[in-house]
Amino acid sequence: MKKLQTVEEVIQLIEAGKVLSLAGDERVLSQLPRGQWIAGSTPYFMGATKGEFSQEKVYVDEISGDITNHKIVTYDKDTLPSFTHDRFENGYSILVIPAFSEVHSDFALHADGYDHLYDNPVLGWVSGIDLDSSDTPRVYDGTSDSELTDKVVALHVELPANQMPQLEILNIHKPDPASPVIQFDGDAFEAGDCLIDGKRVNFAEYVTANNIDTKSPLTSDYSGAIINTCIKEVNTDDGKVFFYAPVFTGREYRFALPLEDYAAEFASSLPKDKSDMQFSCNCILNFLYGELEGKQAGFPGPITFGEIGYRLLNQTMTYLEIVDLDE
Amino acid sequence: MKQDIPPKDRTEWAELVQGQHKMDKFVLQLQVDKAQKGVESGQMSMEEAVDYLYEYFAKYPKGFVSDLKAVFKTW
Repeated sequence: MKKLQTVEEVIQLIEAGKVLSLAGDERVLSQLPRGQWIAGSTPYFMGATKGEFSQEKVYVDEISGDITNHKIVTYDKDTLPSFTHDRFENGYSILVIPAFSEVHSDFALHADGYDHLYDNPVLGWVSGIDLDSSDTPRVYDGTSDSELTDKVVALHVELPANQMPQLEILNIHKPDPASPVIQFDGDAFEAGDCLIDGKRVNFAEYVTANNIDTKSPLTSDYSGAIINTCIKEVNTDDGKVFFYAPVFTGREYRFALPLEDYAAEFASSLPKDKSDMQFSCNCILNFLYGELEGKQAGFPGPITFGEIGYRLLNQTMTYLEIVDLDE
Repeated sequence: MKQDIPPKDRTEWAELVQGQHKMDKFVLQLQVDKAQKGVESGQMSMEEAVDYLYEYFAKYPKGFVSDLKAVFKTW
């Protein structure tokens, strides 16, 4: 099934009762009728053959396959921590969160503490906007025709007992072995002073004085999983560095190795025989810094303002596989 | 099911918590990290951390068998 479709084609799918996870510009998503779908706003996509910007097409993941049940639920900041209780015993959940909202920051800071978070895959993405617009990131609950800027929409999917969903990530960014070790004092989207190789310094001054390439993320090793935190802004006047995801106290961070060719790095890093992904997405920062418009890089999916792989991720591709336990 | 995974008294469980083995699957990397950081911060005892990982693996023995075999070899 082709992934980028016209509004008319998507309306046909909705009217046929398909369960859909969609992505598109707010101007096309607002035309869709009620149905069993969730969506988030973004006009950036990785298509089958190249990265694309489109305000006319809709990216479509049809979830219908072998699923045995599903439900669509919205959550606000107070109810989001309990979303894990709404999941099916065997299945996965797709969350779409509006960028720059309170639920976005709350999820980023606290998801690791949610009850039973890791029992089933939690994937999804942070919706965004055309970067040259003054639009507001939105998410959509197709069952109620709701367009939301301050809530999370979730699609909980149930699978047969002999199928196991597995969420994996592809992070092309690697810690630079020559990087100093950076430690922060608190869990936050910004940092002032920090420890660099054990010495207290102002992080904004350090980044500026050492000409650090802020297109490369900070990395932290989660027992083998390299998790990125991207730098949004360095403000030496305020002595602050702002991030697209929080840094956490008690963790060690290193700058990532700079990348010369994002598309080539994706091509050489992609897992083999993974053409039937249930879901995948990739980061707007990879799209922009890697100049991926018009280039093939990674699996098809929405280009997002943050990825969800149990927790908030940056500059990372996520994908979901369904494993048959009988084989 | 618990009979499908290595017994809890195997020393490799504690080694996992201490970061001596790397997991392959993303969710296991996050779970091992959570147990390891929990012990380092004093929020979990070593025994609690082993219990936490053991119970998690026991829920999905078939799905995680390759990671278990890489650490425990046989059981």
